[in-house]
Amino acid sequence: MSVHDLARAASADLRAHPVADVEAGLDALFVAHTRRRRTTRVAIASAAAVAVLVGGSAVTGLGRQPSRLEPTGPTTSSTPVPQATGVCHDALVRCLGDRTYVFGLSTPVTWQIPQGYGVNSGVGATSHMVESYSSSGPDGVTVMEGVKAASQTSRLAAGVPDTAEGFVRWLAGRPYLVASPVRRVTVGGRDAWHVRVTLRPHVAPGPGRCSGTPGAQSCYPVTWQAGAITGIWSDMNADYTAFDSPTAGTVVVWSWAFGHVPGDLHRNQRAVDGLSWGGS
Amino acid sequence: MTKPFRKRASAVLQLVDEQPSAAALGRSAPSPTNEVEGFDAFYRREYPRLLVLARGLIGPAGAEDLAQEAMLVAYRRWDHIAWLDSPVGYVRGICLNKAHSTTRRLFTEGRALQRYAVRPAARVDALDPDSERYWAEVRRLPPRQAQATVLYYALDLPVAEVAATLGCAEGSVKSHLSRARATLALRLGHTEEPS
Repeated sequence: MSVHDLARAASADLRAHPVADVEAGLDALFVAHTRRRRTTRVAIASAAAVAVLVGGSAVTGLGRQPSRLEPTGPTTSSTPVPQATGVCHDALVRCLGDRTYVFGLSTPVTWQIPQGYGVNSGVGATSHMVESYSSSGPDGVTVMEGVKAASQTSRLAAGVPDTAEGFVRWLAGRPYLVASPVRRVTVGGRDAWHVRVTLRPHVAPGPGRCSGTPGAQSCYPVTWQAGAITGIWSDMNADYTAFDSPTAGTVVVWSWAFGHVPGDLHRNQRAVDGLSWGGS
Repeated sequence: MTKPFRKRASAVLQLVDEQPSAAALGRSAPSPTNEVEGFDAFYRREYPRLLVLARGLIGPAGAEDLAQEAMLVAYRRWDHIAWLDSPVGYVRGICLNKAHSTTRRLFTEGRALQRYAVRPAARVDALDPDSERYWAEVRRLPPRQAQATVLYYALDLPVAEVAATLGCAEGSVKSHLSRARATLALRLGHTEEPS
């Protein structure tokens, strides 16, 4: 065989090789673009804010923070891993087609992800968490297993029943939140408890730290997962829907959106409605 | 994690081994209606080919990131790129430049390692051993020879298109290909001439 023939054969092998999910890659690109653009805006805004503060020309008092933070999910690293385009290569992801995926959490979750939402967003699926970010704005849906209530100092809150209902009722009772009544719902065929929350106007910046966010940013911690913390920031609306799983503890479907944009959580609901769990 | 999650689904898109349109190859002028292609359609058609190019240039680790980065650059500048005679040629050029950059290589390797650290079971499907060895040797060639080889063989582009992408004369491309074949024949123990 000549090297020319070898080149032809090797090229055919390369071209015939299975590739990533193109639709997922396209979604990932839109999400990455949105996030980078937002990061740039935040950097500019932050630089301007610093300049103002240094100049002593502004007093922020208890003002609301800009919507600069977004959930990154519990992570042990402060450096988010770029979103993989080849989600079907991921050991924790099984692609079923029609934008439907099975994520290998301890209780596998099947997710039909609507157009406009990313697949395997953020740090990607782990054995206890998976996210989908909207490509049209800073909002998305995060599924977390083994959730417990977090204290204001970003530790495990004491005295909160380790059940879905206990978690949701505890959350609804936080004095710094405006909360809807707790109600029974179903998510993915599971009986669950739901509450919608946002920070009360003019509350002070959060006293805790949330995982995966810059060290200087503070939050109101809400969820604790083996030491990883997520929470709520000003300018955020969030739906927390929780159910009890025999194998995964309290499972929380967290639909979140920044900017108080009307209809944002309603849009997220399409992604929430795509969730289902085995046996449900 | 259990084994089923390591399996690829049958629904994953396969690379379509058909000839790109003349417009995609940049061999035609913009359409008479002055309409340009939307980025979505461009991405769906060209991403698999760009991934082939990326994999040929830097190997499996980081190839997807490289292809996606090139597409992201294209998306940000699409208002401009869409009106070029050959948007795909432009994006291939981005891919070549990024692959050629040592910084980029280190970055992609670092990112790949980072991803594997988070996803220890992440799997990159291997090519046939002979193919892997061939492409590994191609990547050891001088950059211009490697680029010409990947464009000519992996993407099956005509010499004129390779020359347009590399911004050089067709004669230079033929020279790069000839030198590359000679080197590869020596290293791989094959004859240089087609059988």
